[in-house]
Amino acid sequence: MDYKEMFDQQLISLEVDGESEEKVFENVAAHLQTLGFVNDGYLKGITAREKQFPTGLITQHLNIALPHSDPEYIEKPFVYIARLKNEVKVKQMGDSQEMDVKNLFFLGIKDPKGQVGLLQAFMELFMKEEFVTAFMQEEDKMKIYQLFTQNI
Amino acid sequence: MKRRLIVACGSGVATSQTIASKIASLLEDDGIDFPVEAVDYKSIQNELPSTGIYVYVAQPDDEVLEKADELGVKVFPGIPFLTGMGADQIYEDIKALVE
Repeated sequence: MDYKEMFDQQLISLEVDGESEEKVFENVAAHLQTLGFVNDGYLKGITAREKQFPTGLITQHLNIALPHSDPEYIEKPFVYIARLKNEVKVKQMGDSQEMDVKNLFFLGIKDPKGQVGLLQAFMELFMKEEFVTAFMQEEDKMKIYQLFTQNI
Repeated sequence: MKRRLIVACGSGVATSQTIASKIASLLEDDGIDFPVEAVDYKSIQNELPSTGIYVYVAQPDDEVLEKADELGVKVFPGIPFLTGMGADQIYEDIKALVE
């Protein structure tokens, strides 16, 4: 599958409210469900999974989190880009230490075999300083959409 | 040491697959033939006895670490292979074991 198809301008929110990880998840899950990308088990699925297997990552240029659920809650594959108004605390993948994050990327993986390369492509993007700088400075959804689809 | 490297994450799909293929391609580039596999953390206790190297994504609990120690399985963190930070050193350590 072409990962570009998983991006959608509707799935970019640059001023997400929520004073905690839970609230942010609620807001994003509600939005995704309204748009038909996930079913009603998604919020529970993503919250439970994040508790057991957190997804925060401190990369060289930016702290990010990549919340994802088991495939059963996904209706259509997607990447949802959420930039928060205020940082929230999440736990790190691997050692569960706390970290602050402002940019979250919700990965809607429906077919793990076909979409396993997505995470790899994603991480490669975030290792590029030029890309990360451009992403952080950009405040236009259309341009962010282009930035991802042209580079991934 | 058992000739098998496993990478374990929450579901045995996205993250562990990504890291497993990264390690596999690094080994291949160095001309080293060593089996690398992504597994589900939930089955880790069953996987350890047939494993030489365990790369973790989901943080292993004490019970798992004790078992790995008992079996002589070498344990390494996998996240550096995802973020790129610190991966070179860990890879060198793994390479030294499998060569």
